[in-house]
Amino acid sequence: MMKKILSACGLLLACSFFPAQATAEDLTGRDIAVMVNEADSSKDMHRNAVMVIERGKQKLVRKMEMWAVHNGDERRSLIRFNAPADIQDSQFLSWTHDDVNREDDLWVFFPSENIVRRISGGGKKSAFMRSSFALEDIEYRSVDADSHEFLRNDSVNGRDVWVIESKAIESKSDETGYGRRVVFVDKEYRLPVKIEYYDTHNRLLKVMLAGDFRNIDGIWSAGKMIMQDEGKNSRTLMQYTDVVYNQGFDASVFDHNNLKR
Amino acid sequence: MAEDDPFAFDLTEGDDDTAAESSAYDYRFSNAIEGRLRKFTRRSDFLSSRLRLNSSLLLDAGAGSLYVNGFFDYDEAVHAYDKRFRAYLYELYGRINGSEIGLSGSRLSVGKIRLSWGVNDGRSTIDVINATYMPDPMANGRTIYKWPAWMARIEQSTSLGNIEGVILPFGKDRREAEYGSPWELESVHELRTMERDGVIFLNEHVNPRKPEWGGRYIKYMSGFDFGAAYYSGFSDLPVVRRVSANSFLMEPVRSRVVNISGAMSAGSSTLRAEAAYTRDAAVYDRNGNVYYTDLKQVIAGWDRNFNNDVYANIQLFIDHYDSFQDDYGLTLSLSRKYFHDALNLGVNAMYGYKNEHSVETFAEYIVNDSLTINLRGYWIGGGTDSSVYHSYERNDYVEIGFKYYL
Repeated sequence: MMKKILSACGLLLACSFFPAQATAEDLTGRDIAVMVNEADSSKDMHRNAVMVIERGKQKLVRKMEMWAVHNGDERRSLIRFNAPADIQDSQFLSWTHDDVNREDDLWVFFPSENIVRRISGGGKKSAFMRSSFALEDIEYRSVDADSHEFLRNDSVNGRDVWVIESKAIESKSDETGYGRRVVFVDKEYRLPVKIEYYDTHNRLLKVMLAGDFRNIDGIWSAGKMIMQDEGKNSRTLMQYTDVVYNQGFDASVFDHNNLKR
Repeated sequence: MAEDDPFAFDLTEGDDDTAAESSAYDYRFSNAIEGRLRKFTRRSDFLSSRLRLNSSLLLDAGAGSLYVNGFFDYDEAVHAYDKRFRAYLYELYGRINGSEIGLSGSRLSVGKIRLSWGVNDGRSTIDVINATYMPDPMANGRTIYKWPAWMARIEQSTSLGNIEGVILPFGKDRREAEYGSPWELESVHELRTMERDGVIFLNEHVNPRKPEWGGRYIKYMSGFDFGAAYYSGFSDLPVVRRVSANSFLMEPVRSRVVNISGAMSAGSSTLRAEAAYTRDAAVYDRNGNVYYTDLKQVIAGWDRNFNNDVYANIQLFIDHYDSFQDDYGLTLSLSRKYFHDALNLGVNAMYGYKNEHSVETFAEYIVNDSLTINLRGYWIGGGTDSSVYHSYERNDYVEIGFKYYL
């Protein structure tokens, strides 16, 4: 029934519709992954985002606008870049499917040529706008695209969490740049507060922390994130503003014809 | 407490550079300075020493928008055959969003527009709406530089797919290379020289100012995109015809092309294909006389990201003429990014079976969000005596360039 899991900051979009904290100690990893997915009850979402990449003394700033809509077993999202100038008006449109047998669809709009071009889902593994995030970190991911194993109960910053390990199933392993992810799910928010990303050689690549949780229109959301590259003097800060849910905006937002400067 | 709280940052206040902005710009004015120094490798002089101010303005009023983009160029290296200073209007168009006035899914754009159709990106059979910018035709090692044209474009989204139509009341806006320019075609240079010597009369009627039009249907589906297009316009390059014994007319001829295209994702790869049929394409016989024959084209492409930082793109193409020699070859793009994508090293290339080739190696380094610098090497040539590539075979160059956003 509930098949989708939100990955990384996609997870942070999510909301909690569970009025009571789960107490069962026999939860499986998949149960928790489904729970996280359930947290996103919104039909649509819009927000602005500011991303600051700190790399040594260098600071790079990206600004973008994001839309998402959940329609049946499909989720569509659109990211439009407002800064910096060299990528201004470029846009990513993606369709993500619950059915793991269907590949995700991704299109890019290039304003200089006024053209919409399909790119492969594998493009989601690349660094997102030179940040520590990958596009797959901010896009939705089907629950069943991964196997999920419950590891332990734990705490992060004094808050109780479930810890699960998620690994891409074989048919989806080509679509992720990670060997596994260890996800720390807050038991109240039902959202990740921390994710550790490992490569296929089990080396820790980076760690994401989520914070500034707010209840917006009855939906818990993380307002800020930090992605820290392991062993590098590099991290990326992300902050969301003007987050709104269930506005019922025009579906044409996701129309390919709408990808324009 | 703030010292212990990793989230005690606010990216939306303080520094103007990190202030969050409203998504819908009412007004946006952007400027960039671009510089490039291109040194011939087979000649002692410079191909270009251009300094460009690139300015754009976007006005967004919700129901519609207006965009204008122009250049101001200074290029000392072209003084022998062209003006040092030039101002260009590159794009100028207004757009009305139908959804704002009760026509959901429709959109009307009017103005000077760069518009690209087709799914292939190195070479496309239907990227014919805009003319090749002959004064500086090579965008990179595998694509050509196109110049926007005045047009009206209407788009309508339906549940069955997206439909659009374009009409260019004055046709393409062709810009020819000046006499003596390194990008002037050899055959054109010979004709112009003879005309200057009083041997012949040459009428360069490169912009007939006659309407062109076309339509496209495209359906974006899960896993697959399909498109079909038709365009009736004039040939990109003008055709030279003998009008009388010593009089020649240089003028594009009307051609009509039908195209189908498809693109699909397959894991980390994307497969693209186009096929096109052009009726009465203009070709030359051995004596230089123009005649017409049907042209059938097929392009098949594959591109893929490897290990997140390596990108490969290969396209195979074949142009089959009913009564002319076929042409076939490939385009290639291969690049790898380093240092958190700040440095991009790569090669773009085209190779045709008659040894027609253009190869560009490049290194682009993003210093920061405002400044990008690049180094390039470019080699072009091959082909038969009458080919475009042969005309450019002395144009190999190396380049150092930059772009700075103000």
